[in-house]
Amino acid sequence: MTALLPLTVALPLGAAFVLPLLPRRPRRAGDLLAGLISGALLVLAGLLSGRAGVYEIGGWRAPLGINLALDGFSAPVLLLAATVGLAAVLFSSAHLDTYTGRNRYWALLMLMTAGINGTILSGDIFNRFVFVEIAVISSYILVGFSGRGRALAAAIRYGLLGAAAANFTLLGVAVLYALHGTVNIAHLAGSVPAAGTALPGPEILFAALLMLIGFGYKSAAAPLHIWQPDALAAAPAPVAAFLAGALIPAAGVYALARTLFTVFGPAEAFGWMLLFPGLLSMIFGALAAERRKDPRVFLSYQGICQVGYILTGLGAAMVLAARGEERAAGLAAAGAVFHLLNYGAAAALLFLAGGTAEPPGRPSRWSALAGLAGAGSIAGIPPLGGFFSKLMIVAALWFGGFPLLAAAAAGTAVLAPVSFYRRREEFLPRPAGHAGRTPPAMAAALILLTALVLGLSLAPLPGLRGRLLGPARRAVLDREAYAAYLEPGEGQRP
Amino acid sequence: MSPVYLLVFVLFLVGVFGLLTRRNLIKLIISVAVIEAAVNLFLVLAGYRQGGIAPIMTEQHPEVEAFAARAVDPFPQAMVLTSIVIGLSLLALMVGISLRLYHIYGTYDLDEIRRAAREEGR
Repeated sequence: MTALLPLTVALPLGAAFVLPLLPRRPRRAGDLLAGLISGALLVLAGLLSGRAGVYEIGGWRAPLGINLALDGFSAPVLLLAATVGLAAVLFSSAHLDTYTGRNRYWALLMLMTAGINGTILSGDIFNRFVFVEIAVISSYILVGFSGRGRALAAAIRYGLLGAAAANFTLLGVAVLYALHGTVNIAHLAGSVPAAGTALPGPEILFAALLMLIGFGYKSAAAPLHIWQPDALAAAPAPVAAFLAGALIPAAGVYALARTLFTVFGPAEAFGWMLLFPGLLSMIFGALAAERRKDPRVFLSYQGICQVGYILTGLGAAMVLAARGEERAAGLAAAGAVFHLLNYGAAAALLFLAGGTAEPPGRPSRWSALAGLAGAGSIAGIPPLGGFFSKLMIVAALWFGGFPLLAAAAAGTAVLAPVSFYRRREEFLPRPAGHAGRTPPAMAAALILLTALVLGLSLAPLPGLRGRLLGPARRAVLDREAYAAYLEPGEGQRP
Repeated sequence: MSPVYLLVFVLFLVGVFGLLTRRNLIKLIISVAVIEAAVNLFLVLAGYRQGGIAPIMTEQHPEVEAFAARAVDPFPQAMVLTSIVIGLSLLALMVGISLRLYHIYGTYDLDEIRRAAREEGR
């Protein structure tokens, strides 16, 4: 099965180079190719879900070769990115009629998909840096794709600060290479000593801080969030959905968690490095959202608040793991990964549902209902996934001995439904009565994401817990298991 | 710790300072380029060896062990090449967008551009 891993990068990358060469007519040729590739990627991600293994490119073993690694943490994020990607492509095919340069748009979207998948699977920190750059450079262009002044201004601010943040990541990679002579994640996991409750050495702290700045920017965590509301408000709706639902979760939060947990290992200091921006994003995002008029900016700040929950959960998991409190750490880690998936799916759904009201769309009652499912999950209304993931994070904070943090997280969670209820007229598309008719491709995108949001809500059920949340928890916390991937004969183990 | 590392760090901070204090798009782009140059220098230094030879095997160095003991580390150089390519594409993109913005707003000042763009959004 691991032989399928390189296809997740090769298919969209290949398509990205073919798409600009396609003739302008028939117009649907590019749509068809992009749709086929995204559909194939979703099938691949489905086949790979629940599996683990490593693929060595060209048969070269690390450290000479580079590898792609799949485990309980990367597989669900890959599935999230593939689902959001297919939804974005379906939605775009109906939404793009107002733009020119259709095939170039598809090429950039495919390039971004390749970068995101590579980021999720890459087994070494330098290649991951390159894949992140492939994804974000495409996203800078896509944010400004309309060519309007507002979009270009958002794109250049996002791009300039993003380029600087990328150099922080690269400097972190260089420091780790200078210290340990390898960039392979599994080898680093085996050679960087876990500090536990002690303070890590200054050079390791420095490298971790550089990584935190680099990936924190891509996660849009406060105080490095400044690009995100502008970019999400100015980008075309499907691009905003893809950014919020795949790029931020994968190239930001996932990459940050993988670096701190697997490369650096559990240490209290790193835990607090995550808890500080986490708590700040959570509270600031919720408060700032209150004061914004533009519905997309409101959703963006709510997204910052959700990223805050994820980072708080990860930080708590880190501190508790360093103290050796396995149970509470496991709950926090599972809650954080679960909230990452819930946030990605729900945010993408909300941006797409809002997009049905933009020209040429005439939203029907159903697209408002789909948006409601996304809002319910992000706001944390009980039967939906977002409620359970927030509950898990709050419970882990409480039982882990952070009563104040638990109170802050619970208070913010209680305010969210109020906030969403008061703004319902603005961020939900207003149905155009009987004249309302959502184009079939847009409807398909909304159905796909609604199914993902509702499906994720089932994950905490006792029978299903061991399929998604259990492996995810183990993959986040178990550093030795990741290092063992590269041992001869162990590579293919489930 | 050689003083060269200190200089690299100073260069890095110069770039960060420029990025935080300047508002002109061209100067911001230059600041990013300065940061990038500092990081690339650091990468090359990570593989540097006093009196080392180029990591290319020729007839002059038939002994692999002796060659490996003297050659500089080629891996950081490969990383620098990749990083330069990424930096170049970013630079081209940023300059392109800046020119478009200048055509629209007649200024390179990022604050003025954002203010004008916000007015437009209303």
